[in-house]
Amino acid sequence: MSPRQPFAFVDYEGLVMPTGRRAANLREFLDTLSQVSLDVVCHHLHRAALRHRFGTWDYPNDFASWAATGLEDLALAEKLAALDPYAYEQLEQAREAITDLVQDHLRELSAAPVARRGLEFHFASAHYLALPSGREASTLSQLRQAMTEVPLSSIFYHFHEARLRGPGDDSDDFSRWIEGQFGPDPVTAELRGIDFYFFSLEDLRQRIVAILDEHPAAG
Amino acid sequence: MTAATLDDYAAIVGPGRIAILRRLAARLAGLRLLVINSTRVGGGVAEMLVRHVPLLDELGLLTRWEVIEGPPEFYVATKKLHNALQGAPVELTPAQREAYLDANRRFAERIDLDADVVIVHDPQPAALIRFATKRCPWIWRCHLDVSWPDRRAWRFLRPFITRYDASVFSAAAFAMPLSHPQYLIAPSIDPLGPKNRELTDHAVDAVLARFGLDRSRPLVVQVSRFDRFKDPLGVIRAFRMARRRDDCRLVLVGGEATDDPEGSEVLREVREASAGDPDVIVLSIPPDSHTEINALQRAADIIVQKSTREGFGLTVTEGLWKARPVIAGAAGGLTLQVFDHQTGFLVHSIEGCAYRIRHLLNRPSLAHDMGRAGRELVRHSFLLTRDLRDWLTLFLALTGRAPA
Repeated sequence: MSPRQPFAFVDYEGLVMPTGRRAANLREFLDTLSQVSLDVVCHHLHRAALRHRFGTWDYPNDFASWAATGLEDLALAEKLAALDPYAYEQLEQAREAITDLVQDHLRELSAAPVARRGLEFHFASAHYLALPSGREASTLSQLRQAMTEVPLSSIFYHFHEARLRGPGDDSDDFSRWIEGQFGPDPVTAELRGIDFYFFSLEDLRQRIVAILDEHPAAG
Repeated sequence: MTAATLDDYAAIVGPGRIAILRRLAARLAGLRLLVINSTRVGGGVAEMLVRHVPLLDELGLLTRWEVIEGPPEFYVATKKLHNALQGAPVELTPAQREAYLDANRRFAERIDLDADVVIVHDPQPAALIRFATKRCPWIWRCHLDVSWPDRRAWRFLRPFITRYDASVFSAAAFAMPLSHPQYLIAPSIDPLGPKNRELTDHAVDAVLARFGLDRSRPLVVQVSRFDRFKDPLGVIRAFRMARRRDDCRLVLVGGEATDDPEGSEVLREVREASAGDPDVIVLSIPPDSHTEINALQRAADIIVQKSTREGFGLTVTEGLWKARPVIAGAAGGLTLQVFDHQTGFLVHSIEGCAYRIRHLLNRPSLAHDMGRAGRELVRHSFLLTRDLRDWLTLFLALTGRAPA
């Protein structure tokens, strides 16, 4: 972003696109995972935060959630939850890591776990639109105010999705904008330091607001 | 009572969600929608369309709603098709196939199909596309649980569905191997409509009194059409197993949709099964008895929906919105709403249903917490404002009116 540009929030709206492919047990899961497009891997790995959750933020991706609730295999759920999808430059590498993890897990079992009826894994991708919302912020205090009012999906776009737009995008939009506007600022290091994979979007919103509150408005 | 406008929903979902609807719709101003289904009254689809159409108009789209009609043979054929797509092993006779196609052919000749987007709901008018000149995106919106369809029925319907530009299902489990894009849009309820708006205790008691009921003993309620897939006979058996240990009463309440000729037969079976049991109350009420349904759901201690197939189960959404715990069959769209041990229980058998009825009757604080969780789930995911947002997003995706 060039200097003197306000931060422009986007509306991030989308629809899940099911593939019609499902898995009722771990072997079917592995088979299908190897065949679906990388959009599907991306959707299940990165967009779980967009869905409504109950209570604490347990499992950060759909694969781990399914292992816990569909297969009731908590050891596998733990392993899948601990996988860091941002550790891989390419989605294909993330797919390979998941495949290796599940295969290693299967080797330790006497039989492949089967999902309860009605709780099979359904592979899907998604179609999302990022549209200008008209909401802008020119100062940190305006950014902080907007942060409390914009939809959670918008925060997802500027924080999570920002890191998926291409190689080298290892930062959220907020800290990138703050740096562009005001130069190096302690707030950017703190924002970039949030381990957001373990936050629900509401938790993330509150954390960002808390960081902005800790620093006097620079704008 | 005046129908609610968009701004009336801001108090429930927040003004931000309404503002997003307006921003999305601004890109679609003047878009001419043609919406087609098979009934204006009765059933979840008609109830949703009754609210969607005026609200889409308020958002600046131009919506026209047409209803396919046909002779009695058409409704017999479409009910069989409906059942077969949900997995029942029934086959349409050649005469029934012809009745189905003929009604669709006549409908295509009768209505004006000029529009910018055509949305066809469910299998009844699905063959319309075969007899139409297609000049815009056509969307097939399937509300059924087609996770395990009868293959013969799907082979009959599939050639029509493949002509569409996109399909919309209520749950990922229903998606089909189709070459065109498929989308998920969960159905929704209207929190300000007569079926879901707040009622005073006095109003609830007044409705109960009209049906000879009161709240002196726990009420277990299933609201749904009298349809075999809703398993009303299984609910009666589960209730009787639970009642052996825990005092309660069962209310089975439903109306008949105009496009469902099988309903009266199932109702007769239910009446036979409940005959002589004063604790099983079977109510067949007109399809527009919204306040009555609202009151019965609010009076319920437990909502049951023991379906064996279920496209979505809007009566469950209604129960959750009223902060009631729900015991549901682990079928179709019910698994999107009933999260085990969170908003209720998913059950896989009559015994499981009986066990969970007793569980909740003996754990009122758990039932209360589940009810609260269910209401928040519905607020986030299953109110009509979210539904409208999804449709606007789909129209943007299909018409190219969104920036690349």
